[in-house]
Amino acid sequence: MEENELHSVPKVFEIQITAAGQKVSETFELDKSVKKVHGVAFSSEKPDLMYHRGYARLEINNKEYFPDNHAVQRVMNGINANLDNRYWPLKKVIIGNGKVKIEYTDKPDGRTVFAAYTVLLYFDCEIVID
Amino acid sequence: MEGLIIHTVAINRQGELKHFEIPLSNNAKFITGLWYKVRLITDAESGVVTELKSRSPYQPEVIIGELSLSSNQREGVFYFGKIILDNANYGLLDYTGGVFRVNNYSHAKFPQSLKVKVDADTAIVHGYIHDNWGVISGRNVRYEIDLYIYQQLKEKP
Repeated sequence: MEENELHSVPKVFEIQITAAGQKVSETFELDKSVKKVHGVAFSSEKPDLMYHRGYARLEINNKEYFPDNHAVQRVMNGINANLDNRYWPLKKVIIGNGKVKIEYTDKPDGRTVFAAYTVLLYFDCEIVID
Repeated sequence: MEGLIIHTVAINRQGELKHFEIPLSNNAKFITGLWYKVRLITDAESGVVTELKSRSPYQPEVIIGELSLSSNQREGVFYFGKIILDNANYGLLDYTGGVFRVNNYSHAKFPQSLKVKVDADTAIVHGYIHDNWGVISGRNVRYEIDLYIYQQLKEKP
């Protein structure tokens, strides 16, 4: 019998921010094939807004990884970072029910002018292929 | 096991000196790291200084205040330093600057937290922030500073 193989795959989820000061709470589900999660990365088409205004609380399988009001800026990595170092490492993730809960808050910052933007959430996963 | 406390301090007046206390977790063993983030509440276009001009390509950093943190243990004051708005010189002399502007949010790597190792036997961290942003802007500047205190927690028995 052949052994199952693990493949590194990014899983992407999307959040729309349409109003200044908006709080968006979303729950996503990881596929059954996901066996490990190594890290998370945030991206946006308007990175300046996410950098200054973005705050996120992150929970996987009911375990909190980023508390309330955790700045997205803290876990943002630009293009000067190595390709294999773009994800913020998440330690000892137990997939469990596979539920990823994110509470994203846009907090106004006087240095930016709001425009609607999209936040992309990337998870560095390992999936099993039979 | 690592824990994180985020404490927000609001500054409203020019030259304000604000004292605060941050309660640590019951099972905290050490304070291992510090980081902060500044959020401007006043509109920047109403005369708040957000960058300093200079004749050289190097731009002086905007110092918005002083931060001091202390514990009741023998370490006493374990952090004292200036709070800097942003790294204004990120990508200084980068030759691609004219084509693809280098910014903190597009190019910078993870912001590093300051590594410290302070006994967390004390239940509370005392601290103060002394405003400078209002002083250099010549007006009241409203802003918030989120202080990130990273802790090493005792493992459960």
